[in-house]
Amino acid sequence: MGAIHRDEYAEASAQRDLTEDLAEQGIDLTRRDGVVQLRGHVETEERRRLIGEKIKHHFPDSEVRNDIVVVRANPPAEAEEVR
Amino acid sequence: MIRVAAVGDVHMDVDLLGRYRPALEQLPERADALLLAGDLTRHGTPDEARCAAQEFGGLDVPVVAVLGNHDYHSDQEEAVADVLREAGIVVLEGDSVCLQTAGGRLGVAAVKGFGGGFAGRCASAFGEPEMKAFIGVTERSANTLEKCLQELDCEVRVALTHYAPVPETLQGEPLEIYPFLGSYLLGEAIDEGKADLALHGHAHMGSERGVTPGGVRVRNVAHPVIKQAYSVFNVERSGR
Repeated sequence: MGAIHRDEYAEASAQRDLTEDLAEQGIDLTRRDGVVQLRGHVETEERRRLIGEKIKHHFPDSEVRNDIVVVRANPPAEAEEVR
Repeated sequence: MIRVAAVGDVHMDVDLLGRYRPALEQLPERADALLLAGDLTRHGTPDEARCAAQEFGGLDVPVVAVLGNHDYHSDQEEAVADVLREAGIVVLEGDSVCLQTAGGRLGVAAVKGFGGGFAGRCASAFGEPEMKAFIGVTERSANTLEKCLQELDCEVRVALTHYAPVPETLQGEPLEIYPFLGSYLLGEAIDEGKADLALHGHAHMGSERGVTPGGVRVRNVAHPVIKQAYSVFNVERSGR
């Protein structure tokens, strides 16, 4: 029971840390069977790596699966007609 | 018809310099103006603003920006805006601009906006002074946006905000944080101001398309949502 409580507070703390330290909002974190899964989009591979590192610090005994995607910056293929 | 390019939440810093530039160089053949929907920086520092200015300044199309919550984080939003203006970017907050384009006059009215939530699940100006202050910010912002839109004498009117005016473009975000992502008051202002298109950012996990109760198309152009350097909207005047 204690471990569950610790995980809950660790998640809240980790999410605040992502925002207040790394200025990363919009990262989804889910916990399941000892695995912490990360999803979302960031601008660079390095920012992705830093988020994974930060989360591992909050969950040292869990496996962290970093499924965060580096979003592309290509020109659009088409325009949208707004009438 | 006026071609409007837009992106938000680019969160510039030195590590991103040059990332958008190849796509931006193609803008003149694709769009008449580029609108930036806030969060141009990560922590709202002048140094980060210089990166945004370098990346989005000096283009062959006019660039109009509104700041986002990240751009306020270091309490240096005025300095951030000044850096962007020095690079030729028009920075608006509670203000509007009318641009002469090949397709006619493009009016852009912009406020950052703020939170509060949406019909049936929104905060009210009631109780503690902090709560009244919170809603007061959104109310004043929405009232200003409506006034700016109504004063625009242009073929096409675009409302540019950072916070969302409708819940549809938040789909994908946790429901619990909707009140921190936008307010129906902005949507009401966009309807009353008879905008032709509303653009916003802020909701990285949201959805691209929505519509106000009055029928104004709303687009979430946050970079993680559009997943490209910018989106382009070919806007016809709706005849409102």
